Amino acid sequence: MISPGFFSFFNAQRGLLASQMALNTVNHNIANANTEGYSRQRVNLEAFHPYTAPSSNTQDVRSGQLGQGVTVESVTRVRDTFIDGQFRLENSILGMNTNIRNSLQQLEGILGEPSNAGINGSLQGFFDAAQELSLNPESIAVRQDFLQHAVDLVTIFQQQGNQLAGLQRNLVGDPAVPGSFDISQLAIHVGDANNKLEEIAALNSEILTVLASGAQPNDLFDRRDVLLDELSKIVDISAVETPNGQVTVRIAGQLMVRGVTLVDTLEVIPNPGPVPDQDTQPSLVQTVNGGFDIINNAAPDTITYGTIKGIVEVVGRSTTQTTVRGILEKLDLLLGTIATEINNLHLSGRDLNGNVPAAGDPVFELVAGPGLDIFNYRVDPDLLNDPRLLAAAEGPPAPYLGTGDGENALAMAQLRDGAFAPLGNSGFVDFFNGVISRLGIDTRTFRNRSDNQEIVISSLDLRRKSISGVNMDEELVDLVRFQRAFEASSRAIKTFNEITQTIINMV
Amino acid sequence: MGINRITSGFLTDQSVGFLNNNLRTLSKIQEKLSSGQNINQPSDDPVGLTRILDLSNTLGADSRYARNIEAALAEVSVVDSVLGNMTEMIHRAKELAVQGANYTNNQDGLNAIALEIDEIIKQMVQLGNTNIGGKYVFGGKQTSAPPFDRPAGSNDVNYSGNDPATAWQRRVEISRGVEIEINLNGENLLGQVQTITPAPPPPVFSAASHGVLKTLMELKLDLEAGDQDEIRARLDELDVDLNNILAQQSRIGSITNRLELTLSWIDERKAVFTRQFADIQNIDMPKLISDLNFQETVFQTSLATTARVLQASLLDFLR
Repeated sequence: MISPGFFSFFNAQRGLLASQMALNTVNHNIANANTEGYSRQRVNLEAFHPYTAPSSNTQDVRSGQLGQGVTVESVTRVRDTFIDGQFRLENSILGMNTNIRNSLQQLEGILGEPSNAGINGSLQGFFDAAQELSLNPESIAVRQDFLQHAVDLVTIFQQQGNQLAGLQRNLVGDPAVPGSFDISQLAIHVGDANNKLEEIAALNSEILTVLASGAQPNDLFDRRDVLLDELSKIVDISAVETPNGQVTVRIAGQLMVRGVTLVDTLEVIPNPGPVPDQDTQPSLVQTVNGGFDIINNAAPDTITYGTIKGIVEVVGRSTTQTTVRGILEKLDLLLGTIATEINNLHLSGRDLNGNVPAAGDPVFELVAGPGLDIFNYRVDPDLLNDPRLLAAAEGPPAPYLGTGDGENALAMAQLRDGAFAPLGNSGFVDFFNGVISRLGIDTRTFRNRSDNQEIVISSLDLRRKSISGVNMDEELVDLVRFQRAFEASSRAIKTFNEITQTIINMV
Repeated sequence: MGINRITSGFLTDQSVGFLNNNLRTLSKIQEKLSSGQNINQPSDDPVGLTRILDLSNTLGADSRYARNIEAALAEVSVVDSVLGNMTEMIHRAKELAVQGANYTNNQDGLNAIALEIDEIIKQMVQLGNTNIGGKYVFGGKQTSAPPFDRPAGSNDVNYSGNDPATAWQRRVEISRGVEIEINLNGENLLGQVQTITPAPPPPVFSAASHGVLKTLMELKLDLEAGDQDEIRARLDELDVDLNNILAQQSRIGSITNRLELTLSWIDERKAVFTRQFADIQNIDMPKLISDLNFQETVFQTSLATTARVLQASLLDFLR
C-alpha cells in the first residue's frame, strides 16, 4: 500500500489548524476569565475521517485506511444547566429577603429607637409634664410646658408617620401623588424585568440564526444565562430550554417569552380597588397584554419570591411580620388612643377658671383632612392661646375647690400606667415598645435569612464556577500543550518538505 | 460539596468575601466603640432591647417620681419650720398669759400685754398665709389667694380656704399608683374667729369660731378687760391648741419620713436598674478593644494571604 505524494502535508496542515483553533480558544478563555457569567470553552478534537487507499485487492479495504489527521469537531461551553435552575430559585429568594431586610432596616432608622429623641422620649416627656401639672396646676408656665409637650408628641408622631408614608411611596407609589408610581422602586424593578425579557427574546432570535448556520453560539448562551440569573433576582421565573436552543420564560405561570417572540411584559398600575385594599397595596403588577395580576392570585398563578414580591410584602399589612403600613397604622392607633383618653379626662375636668371645657375644645383636636388620623391631629389652638383653659382640676360631680386642684392632671399622668382595650390591653409605652421589639426581631430574622441565602447563593455560584470558571494555570498548560503541538506539526511539514526535496534532487 | 476545580474567579470571589466579612466585623466593633452602646438598632439584640426599653421606662418614671418627692419635700420642710414658729408663738402667748394673770390692778401693763398678743395673732395669720413657690399652702386646693384674712380694726380672722369637710388634700404621686397627701388644712391648724354682729361688749364669738386664733383673741380681750380668772382659764385652752399644732407637726414629720424612705428606695432601685441597664447596653471596653486588635490581626492576615494567593500563577514559572 502506498500513500499519495502530498498526503502528509495536508495531514500536518490539519494539525496546525487544530492547534491554532485550540490556542485561540485558550486565548478567549484567558481574556474572559473575569467576565461575569462566562463559561470556559473547550475545543473538541476528533480524528479526521480516514482515507481508504485504492487497492487492486478490494478485500483489503478495511486494513488499508489511512489516518488523515485531526479536525475540530466543535467548540462547546462547559456548563451544568441543572445548577443554573437551582441558582435562579435561590436567587429569587435572596432578592426577596434582601429587599425586605433593607426596608426593615430603613424602618429601624425612621423609628430611631433606642434613643431619647424618638416617640419613647416624647411620651416620657409628655407624662412627666402631666405630673408637673398635677403639682403646680396654678402655674401658667407649667400649663404652657404641658401643652408644648403635647405639641411635641403630635409633631414626632407626624414626622415619623410622614417618613413611613414616604417610604411606602418610594416603594410602591401613592395614589395621592401623581407620577409617584412611575418612579417607585416597584416600577423601576418591573421596568428592569421588562428590559431583560426583551433582551432574552432578542438573544433567542440571534441564537436561532447562528444555530441554523451550524455553529455553536456559546457567548450568546452565556449572555442569555446572565440575563436569566438577573431576572430571577427580580421575580421568580420558570425558564425552559427547548431542543432548538430557545428558552421559554414564564412568570406566575404566564408566558412572557416564547422563542423569538416577546409574548408579554409587566406593568405597574394604580390599584383600582376595592379588593385588594388600596391602603396596603396602592399599586398592582400585571401583564400588559393579558391583564393578569401576578401578585394576588393563588399558587401557581402568582409570584412567590424575588425583589418585586419582597417590595409588595414589606409594604402591606400583615399579622405575622412587620410591614411599613403595619407600623404606620400602629402609630396611628397609638396617637388616637392617647388623644381619646387625654381628651376624655380634659373634657370632664375643670379649667383654671373653674369651668368645664366646651366639647369643641379638646387637648388633641382631630381636624378634617386626607389620610390616616395621625396626620390630622393638632393641639387645640384655643388652649395654646389661653393655657388657663386646660382642665387640670377635678370636674363635676365634685365641687370646685380652687386653682391648686391638680386631680385631673394627676389622672392624666397616671394614664401612663393604664391599659387600654384598643391597644390589646397594654399601656402606651408597652404597646410602642412591643412594636419596636417586633421590628427588631423581624429585621434580625430577615438579616439572618438574607445572610444565609447569600451563603447558599455563593456556594452554588462556587460550584458553578468550579465547573464553568476559567483557571489560568489550566489555560497556561493548554497554551503550552497546543504550542508544542503546533511546533510539532510545523516540524512534520519541514520533515516532509526535506523528504520531498530529497526526491526532487534525485531527479 | 467538594470543589474539584479551583478557578481564578473563585479565588478572587472568595478572597473578597472573606475580606468583606472581616471588614463587617470591624465596622460593627467600631460602631459599638464609637457609640458606647451595644444596641444601636433594635435588630442588634431584640431580646436585650426589650429589656433595656423596659428598664429605661422604669428609670424614666422613677426619676419623675423622685422629682415629685423632692418638690414635696421642699414644701413640707418649709411647712415644718412654719409649724415650729407657730408653737414658739403659743409658748410666748402662754408666758404672757401667766404674766397677765399676776399683774393685779395694773391695767396699763395688761393693755401692753394685750398689744403683744395682738402682734402674735397678726404673726399667726401671716404664718397661716405662708406662700411656697407661688402656692398658699394652708388653703387646701385654694392656692392662689391667702386663706386667712383679718379685716383692719376687726377682731375677726376669716378663713377662706377649702373647708375641712371637702377633699382639700393635695396629692402627689410618689411611686406607681401611690399618692401621698402633703398639705395641712389651715382651719384645722389655726381655726378662725367670727364675732356675732352687732357685738355687745365684750364680743360674743359665733359657733364657727374655734382653734388657737379664737383662744388668742379671747385672751387679748380678757387682758383688755382685766379679767384675771378668764386669763388663767385661757392657759389650759392654749395647751389644747398647742397639742393640736404639735399633732399636725408630727403628721408632717411622718409625711417627711415616708417621702424620704420612698426616695431612698427609688435611689436603691435606680442603682440596681442602672447596673442592669449598663450590663446590657454599655459596651465592655477592654473586651471590645481586644476584639478590635484581634480582628485587625485577622484582617491583616487575610489581606496578606489574599495578596499571596492571588499572585501565585504558573506564569511565574513559565519563563
